[in-house]
Amino acid sequence: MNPIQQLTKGFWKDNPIFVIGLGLCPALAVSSSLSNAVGMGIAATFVLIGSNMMISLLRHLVPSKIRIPVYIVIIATFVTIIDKMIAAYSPALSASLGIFIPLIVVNCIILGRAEAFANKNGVFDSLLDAIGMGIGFTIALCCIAFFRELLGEGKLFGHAMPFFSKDPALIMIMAPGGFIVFGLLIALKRLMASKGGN
Amino acid sequence: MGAELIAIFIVAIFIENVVLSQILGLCPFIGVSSKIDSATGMGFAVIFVLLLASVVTWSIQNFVLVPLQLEYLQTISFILIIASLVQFVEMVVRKTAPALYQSLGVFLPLITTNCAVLGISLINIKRGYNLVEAVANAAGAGIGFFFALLIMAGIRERLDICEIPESMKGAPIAFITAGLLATAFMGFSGLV
Amino acid sequence: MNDMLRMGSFLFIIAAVAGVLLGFTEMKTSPRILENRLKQLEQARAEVLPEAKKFNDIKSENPNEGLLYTAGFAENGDLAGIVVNVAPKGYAGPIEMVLGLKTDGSIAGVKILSQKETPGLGTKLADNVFLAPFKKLLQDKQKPVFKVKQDGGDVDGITAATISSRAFCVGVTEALGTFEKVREQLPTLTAPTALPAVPQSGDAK
Repeated sequence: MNPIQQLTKGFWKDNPIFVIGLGLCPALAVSSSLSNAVGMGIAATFVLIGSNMMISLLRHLVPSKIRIPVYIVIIATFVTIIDKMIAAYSPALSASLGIFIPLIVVNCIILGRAEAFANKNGVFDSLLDAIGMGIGFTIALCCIAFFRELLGEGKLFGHAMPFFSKDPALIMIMAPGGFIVFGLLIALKRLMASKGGN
Repeated sequence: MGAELIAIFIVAIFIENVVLSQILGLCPFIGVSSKIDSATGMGFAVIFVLLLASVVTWSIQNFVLVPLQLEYLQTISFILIIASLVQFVEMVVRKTAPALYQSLGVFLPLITTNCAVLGISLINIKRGYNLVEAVANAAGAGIGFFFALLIMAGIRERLDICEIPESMKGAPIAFITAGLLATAFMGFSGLV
Repeated sequence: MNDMLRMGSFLFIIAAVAGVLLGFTEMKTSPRILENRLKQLEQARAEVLPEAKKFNDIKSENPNEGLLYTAGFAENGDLAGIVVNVAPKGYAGPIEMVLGLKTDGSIAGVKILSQKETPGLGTKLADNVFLAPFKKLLQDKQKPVFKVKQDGGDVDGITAATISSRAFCVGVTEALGTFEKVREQLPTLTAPTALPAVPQSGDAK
C-alpha cells in the first residue's frame, strides 16, 4: 500500500464508523450539531495520532503479555491532555461534549487501531493510518450531524437555514434521531457499495 | 432520603436509560442483541460490573484522588481500575463458579471497553452523588441496560423472519429499531 | 520471576511517565480553566445586575459553606443589589442559575449558566421563549407567585418541560429566600475601595 492509500483508506472505503462499526457511542451521542461533531473529531484524531505513534515507537519494547494495559495507559494520557486543553481553550465545547471527551478512552477505534495497526507497522505508516482514521471518523460524525442539525434545529453550524428553520423536528437532535439517521446512513452506504459492484 | 434514592434508581432505568437516552454502551447493545440467551448473559454481566465499578471508582475518587488533589488522573485511574476489575472478576468467577463462567465468561472481557461502565462512573462523580446514590444510579443504569438489551433481542429475533430490503438487513434495521425504542422510552419522561 | 520483574518495571515506567506528563498538563491548563469559569461568572453577574459596577463576595462565617452571595455596588458606592447563585435540581442534573436582586428584593435579572435539560424542550429555559414572558411577569405584577401555572402560580411553564420549569421556580424562590435571610445586614455593607473584587467560584470545592 502506498502512503496515499494508507492515508485515504479511512476516509470512505474502510471508514471506521460506517464500515468497520467502531466508536459508535460518540458518533451518535455528540452528533447533534456540526460544531460538536467537528470538535469531537479533532479531539479523537489528536488522541489517535498520539497513541498510534507512541505505540508504534514502543512496539519492540513492550512485552506482549502486558501490551493492552500499556496501550490503555498511553491512550488515557493523551485523552486527559486533550480534555484539559479543550477545557482551557474552548470552555463552550468542553461543556457541550461533557463526559464524551474522557470516554474517548473506551472508543474502540483507538484501541482497535493500536492493536490492529500500530502494533505491527512503522511510525510513519501509523501516523498516516491515524490521520486517515481520524478524518474518516470526523467525516462520519459530520455526515450524521449534518442531517440531525438541519432537520432537528433547522441550522447548520448554528446558522439558521431557510425553509428548514420553520418547525424543525426536535426529535432528530435527541437520542432517537441519532439512531434513525445512523441506521439510514449505513443502509445508504451499503446500497451504494452494492450498486458500485462490490 | 429514601424517596430521593428511589427517584435516582427509577430515573436511571427508564428516563435516562443508558443506551436509549444517554447513548452509552452501543457496541454490546448492537453486537450482542441478536439472541435472547446471549443478551441475558451480557445484561447480568454488565449489571454486576457496573455496580462493582461504581463503588470502587467512587471510593478512589473521594478517598484518594480528591484528598491528594490528583483529580487530573481521574480518567486514567478509572479506566485502569475498570480493566483490572474485569480481569479479576473473570478470574474469580472462573475459579469459583465454572457454571456461571460458562454463561457469563465470554462477555466479561468485552465489558472493559463498554463505555457505559466508565460513563456511569464519571457521571456519578460529576453529579456529586454520595456512595449510596452512586450505587442506586449504577443499579438503575445496569437494569436499564439489561431491559433495553432484552427488548432489542426479542425484537431482533422476530426481525430475522421478516422480509427486509437487502441493504437494510442487520445493523441498519437494528439502529432504526433502536430509534423507535428510544422514542418509546421518551414517553417515560416526566414519570418522576 | 525475572520476566515478571521486567514487565512490572516496564508498566511502572510507563505509568510514571504518564503521571509526569499529566501533572505538567494540569499545571499548564488549570489556571486557564479556573479563569474561564471566573470570567463566565463575572459576565453573568454584570448581566443580571446591570446597575452594579463593583462586586464584593460575602462569605459565610462557617468556612464549609463557601460563598453566600455577592453584593453589587453602583458607581457612586451605593448598594445596587445582590447576586445569588443557585443550582436547583432539574430534569437531568442541576440547573446552575444566577439571579440579580435589587435592594427592595425585586428581581433584576436571571441567567442560566449551565444545564443539561432535554434539548429543544427544557433548554428553552435559557431562551426568550421562556424568559421574555417571565420578565414581563416581573414588570406587570407586584408580588408574583413563583410557581408554574399548573401548580397555582403565575409563571408560564414550558410545554412538555414542566420539571425544568418547576426547577426554575424553585431556584427563584431559593434566591429570594437568601435575600430575606440577609436583608438585615445589607445596609451595613460598603463598597470595596480597591479594584473590583476578584469573583470567586460559586461552587463549594
